[in-house]
Amino acid sequence: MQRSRVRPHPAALCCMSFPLSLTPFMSSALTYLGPPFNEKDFSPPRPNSTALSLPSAATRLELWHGLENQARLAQNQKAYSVLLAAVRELARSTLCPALKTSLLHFCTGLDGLLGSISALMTTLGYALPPPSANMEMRPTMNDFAKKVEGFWILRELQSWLWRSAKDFNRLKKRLRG
Amino acid sequence: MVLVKGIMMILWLLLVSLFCKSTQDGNGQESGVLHCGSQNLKLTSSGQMILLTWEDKPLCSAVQDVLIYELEVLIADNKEHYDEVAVTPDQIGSTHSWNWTSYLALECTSHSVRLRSRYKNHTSPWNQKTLPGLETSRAEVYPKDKYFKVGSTVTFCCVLPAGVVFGKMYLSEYSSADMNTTRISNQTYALTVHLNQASKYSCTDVICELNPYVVYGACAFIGYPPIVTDLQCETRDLQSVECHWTYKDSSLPFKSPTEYHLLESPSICAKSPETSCSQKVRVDARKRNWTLTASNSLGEVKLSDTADLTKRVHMYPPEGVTASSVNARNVSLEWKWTVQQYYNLSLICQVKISNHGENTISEHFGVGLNFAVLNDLIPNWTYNVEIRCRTAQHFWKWSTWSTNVNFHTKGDVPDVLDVWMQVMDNQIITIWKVPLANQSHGHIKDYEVTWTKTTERERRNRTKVAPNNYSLALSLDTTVEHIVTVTARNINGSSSPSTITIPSSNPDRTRVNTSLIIGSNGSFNLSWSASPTASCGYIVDWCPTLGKCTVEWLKVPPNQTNASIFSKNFKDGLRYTLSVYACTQGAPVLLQRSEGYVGEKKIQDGLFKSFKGQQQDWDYEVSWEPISLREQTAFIQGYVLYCLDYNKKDINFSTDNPEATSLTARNLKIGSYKFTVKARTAVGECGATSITATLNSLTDDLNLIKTVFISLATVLGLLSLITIVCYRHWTCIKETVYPPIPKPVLTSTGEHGCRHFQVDQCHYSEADIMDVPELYCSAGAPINGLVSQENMPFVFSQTPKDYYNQPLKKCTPPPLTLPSMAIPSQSGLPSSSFRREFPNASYNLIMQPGNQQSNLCPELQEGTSLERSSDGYQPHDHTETFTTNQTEEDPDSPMSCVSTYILLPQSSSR
Repeated sequence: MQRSRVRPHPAALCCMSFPLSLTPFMSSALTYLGPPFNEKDFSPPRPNSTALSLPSAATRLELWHGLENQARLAQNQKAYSVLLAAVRELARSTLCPALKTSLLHFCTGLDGLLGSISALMTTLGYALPPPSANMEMRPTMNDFAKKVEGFWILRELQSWLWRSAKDFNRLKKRLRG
Repeated sequence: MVLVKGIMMILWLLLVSLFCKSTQDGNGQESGVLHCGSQNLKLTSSGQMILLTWEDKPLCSAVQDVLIYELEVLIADNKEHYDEVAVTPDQIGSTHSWNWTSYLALECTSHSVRLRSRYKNHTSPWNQKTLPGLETSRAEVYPKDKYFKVGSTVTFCCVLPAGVVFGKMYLSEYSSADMNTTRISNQTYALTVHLNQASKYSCTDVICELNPYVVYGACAFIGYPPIVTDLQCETRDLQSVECHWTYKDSSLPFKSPTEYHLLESPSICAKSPETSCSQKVRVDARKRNWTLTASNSLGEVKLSDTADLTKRVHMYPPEGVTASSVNARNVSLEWKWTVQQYYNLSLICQVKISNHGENTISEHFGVGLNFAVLNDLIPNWTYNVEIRCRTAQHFWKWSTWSTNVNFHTKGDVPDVLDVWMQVMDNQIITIWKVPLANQSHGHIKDYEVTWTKTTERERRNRTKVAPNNYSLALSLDTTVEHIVTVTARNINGSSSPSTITIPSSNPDRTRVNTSLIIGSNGSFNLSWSASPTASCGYIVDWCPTLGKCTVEWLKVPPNQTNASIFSKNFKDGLRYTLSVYACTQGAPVLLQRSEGYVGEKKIQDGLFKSFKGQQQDWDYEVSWEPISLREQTAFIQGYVLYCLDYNKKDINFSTDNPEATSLTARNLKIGSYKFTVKARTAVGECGATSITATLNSLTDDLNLIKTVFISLATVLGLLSLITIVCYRHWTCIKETVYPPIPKPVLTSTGEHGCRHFQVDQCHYSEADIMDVPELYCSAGAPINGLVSQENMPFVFSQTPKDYYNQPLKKCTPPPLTLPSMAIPSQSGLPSSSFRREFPNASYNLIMQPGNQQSNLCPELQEGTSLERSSDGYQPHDHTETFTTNQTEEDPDSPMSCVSTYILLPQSSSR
């Protein structure tokens, strides 16, 4: 990662410590989806929906490491903005009140993370990526398709959170150094 | 040409005749083919239902009877269903319709319907319409997002794009036994399932798994129609009806919540999980049906409740409860009603007064009741009150309790003290109970005690007692009665005086019998006879029987002659003395006294002090000190003595006397015993104390002495008997043993100077001349000697029991042969003074007086018997004989002689 010439604001660095824990939330969401979604090896086809039109978190590691800070932060920013919108929609369409509350609570944390990334990019002098496509034009989906989409949103979220946690730790070390 | 014209004519005639024929039939049918048929077929669908509409052809108007339309449904070109529609002549010409619901979703595969008419065995050709199945680029499962009742059987299908290989179909949470998969066509597979369980999660997933593994699916919502019971309607504000019900989860809580409508109103009154709703109505005094409609995607349920709402008023609780006027012992409460109509109702209100965990409820009545006065409160006390109300008529339900209201009453002077007295060590202790917080009505500053003799009431002694002391010891003259008065003082003033009269110490007054009592459940149940002197009731006091104590007491009203005595200080196994006094205008009078345990405890082992035992013949007596009361943790009812011998055989001896201090075990045998004494109590035998002892034979010193005396007495008796016998039969004995010898006549001038004398006159007897030695034996001085007469030995022997008449071998000296020399007899001399020595070279036979012990024959072969005989006492057997004849018959046999016998030669003159 290229060394930045501008030192980030301490507050931005502070927020880079990863505050989100997906495990309990993931567990309750999968319980709501029920079997076979909560079974270990279940893997429905990934829908090609707007809610999942985010950068893949499955980029090979060496390619990912080869990217510059700006590119990676931009991808993070884009991914979380898409995921935040997807989780909000998931919360809106969820009928279970307890899960709805849980999803909305998670959205708050996700919003904070997105803000931190934006602040960091601004501090480092990087341009923010354009906002994600509007999700209001979604086609009507059947309930099973919604469950599959929700399942994939959670899976993508999990992958991105894992990747970002490592990224930010590395970035924090470099910037402090 | 003419020929051609002729042929044309024939054909024309034929056609005309044919037409005429057909016209004659009048039904437009010819050769089994019906020309009346359907036209304008339209096949539509709704869900899984197919709807066919058609019209009759114009030719059908000629039909004058019922026309039948035959319909066949083909699913994926397979004949699935057949049906007929009858059309009456009056219906001909109108549009006909027919519907049928497929077991498959119509997207699954093509559904075709073909139709033909039939009239009098003539049928029209088939007319067919088809609804094609869904053509998809990816696998799909149908039907999607549908609701199903638990218990129904449903078929799902998986539609595959061309070239995709089917794997399997299943429902999550269902077992394969409930499912059956069939192939409908190349691209369609069906799964038929009996739905026997409701959806547990968001929905039940119908999964179509391809090969290789990819899954597609659909949601199925499996649940129940609304299950609603127990509808109950009431009014709270007299302006609307409020209904309540219970419902069971339909398993469709989120996707299709149950909606409730009240009184057939189109607006939704409530949604599950709500179980109540209300609606504005005109409340009047008449019975009405109150109807609730509950519906969800699987069905609808109606319930109704018949009620007159004026009799079902469920009031709201009072609002704004306040304590408007607070005094020491009463308070006024006020509140408001949120519903104005309540002010016109006759109401009952309950006020719950909470007082340190104790609740009391008072009821108040009135029209539009909005206040209550509470009396008999404790001064300086915090209360918590809450109020609920209901209509006085037609009780339906109480309102909920209002919010809590706290208030604190004003202070007051302390309550009268509860005073009692205790006499201890010549002191009178006036004691009073610590005033409780609800009695002191404020912080106690001190107590004032006054006392005076009853005869000198004007002279009062007075003292103050600190607030943390609750007794005062007074050294009073106990010969006269005293009056003691105690008051308590707080910031509000002094309590009313509490007076007690101390009785004079008249012993007669305290003379009552003491009875025993046993408590139960940690208390004593005491009863007594009513006393006419008990004008102000009774006082029961109690204290441990032993040691110093602080007396506790209980005052009992005059009409009560029993009491349950309980104290937190009671201990099991401790003896208490309980006294009942009559409360009189003067001094209290002792009526009865009891001693007992609130609960008996087993007495600890080692109860018996100075525990010892003593053998008495074949008995053994154990004894102990009297048992002190301090040691007794239960009433002793008696004692048990256990004797455990070496064979572990247990014998017991008991007594029912609790005062006993010894117990004797009887008829024991020689051996070791463990003697254990236990006290018998109501809680079992206890206080065991043991001692181990060995019982000996009776050959100890004392017994030996006894035995000797008894034996000696026996021997003496025997000897006396023999002496008497011998005396009586002396002549016979003498004849036998000592036959008469002729009297010689001596004429000699011998050396002895006895020249002329008669034998009778001579001192020397015949025996002297015969050289027969005379042996003098005295009683009690055994002499063992050997006497020979004509070579026949006489053996004198005192033989021990079992050893008499046995030959004495080594000890036996050779037969004593006396030299034939005349020895003057000394028979005339007393034996005590007789002392004569025989000049014999071989034997020096010394004749000693009877009281001197002979030393002859010091050695005997049978040493044991000899030793015993030498002790000076030799028991004789009654079989011992003295036979003189024996010497003549058997010179070798020994002859026994009783030492007390004195054998003297008899003078022939006799």
